[in-house]
Amino acid sequence: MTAEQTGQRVQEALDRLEGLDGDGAGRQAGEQLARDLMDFYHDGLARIVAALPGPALAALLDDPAVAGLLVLHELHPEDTGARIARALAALPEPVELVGFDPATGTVRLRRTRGGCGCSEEDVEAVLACHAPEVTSTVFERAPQLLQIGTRPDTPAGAAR
Amino acid sequence: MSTRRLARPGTALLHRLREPAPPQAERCAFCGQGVPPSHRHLVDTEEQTLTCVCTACGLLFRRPGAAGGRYRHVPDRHLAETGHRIDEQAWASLGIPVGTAFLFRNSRQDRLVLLYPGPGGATESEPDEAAWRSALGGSRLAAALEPDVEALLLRRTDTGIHCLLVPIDTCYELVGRLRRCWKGFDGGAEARAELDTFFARLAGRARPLGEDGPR
Repeated sequence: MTAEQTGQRVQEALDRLEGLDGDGAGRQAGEQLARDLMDFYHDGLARIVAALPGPALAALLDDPAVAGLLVLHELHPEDTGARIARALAALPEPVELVGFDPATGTVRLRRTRGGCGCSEEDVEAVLACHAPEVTSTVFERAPQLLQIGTRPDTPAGAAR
Repeated sequence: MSTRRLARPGTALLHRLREPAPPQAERCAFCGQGVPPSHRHLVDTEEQTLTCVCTACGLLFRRPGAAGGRYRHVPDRHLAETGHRIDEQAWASLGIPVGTAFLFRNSRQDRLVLLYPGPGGATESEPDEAAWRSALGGSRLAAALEPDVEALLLRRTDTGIHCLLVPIDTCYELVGRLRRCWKGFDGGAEARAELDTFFARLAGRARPLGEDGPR
């Protein structure tokens, strides 16, 4: 299960708790429960990550479950740029990183081949897992060949 | 070319829950209603703790002997005394190692309790009752002190030893404020500035003894 799916399930549980009482105490208790468990796991996870030899940790970073967990706990050894590259490398089709703006969270991408190996949703899903800092995507279209004809398909003014 | 905004509410929730929890709205210990930051307190004399209380529930505990006397309503009066002063010699006899301390009477154990603010919160010290009696002997402020719920707050500065009668929760508020900014052995400049501000606010609220209205 990805961090996003887990978070949505936690949200649903918190919403149900909120429905049980009128004053929000149930929701607060639920949030505290999640915080406490995450803090507990964080402490252990931080020690495991610190103790792992570099190559052993690196070998785990392509696993979406591990990467999502390490990113959530701020224990991932790579910076945002490296994680975006890692996410794109996991796609079945080459997608080129044009740039990432940390201030806006916007990543600009270009498909280097006009293939149909993956959808924009697929790209966004791997980014969500490896680099949740990315909050919006811009796909630049590769220049397309123009059909040069003798006249426009529709005569000027015909649309009126 | 278009920008696609990615909505990831689940991930955002988990990241938010990894952040330290925001301060919880305080609630009345009796009815569970949320209370404003300026709410009143009761002293639980059995547990020796302060309990937050809403205005309505607080009124129920104002009658002496309510709830078997376990919970005592903390009054709101701040009093100063013009006639009586603790001199340096008397201060020295009290054995207070720091510049700020507060003293109250614990009615259950029938004894004086002396506390100092410090980096770890309040430190309790065994006061010398005889020394206190002689230092405060002529003090009407000490005579007016209500057990458990009011304290004498003492501060020694270059201009002398200042003594105010304040609600006990005010003393714990001071302890909390100092704990956050305490540095080194004596608290440092930041803690001294916090103390100055706090005492200036208290001095502004304090009325001369004898002019206090209803509690």
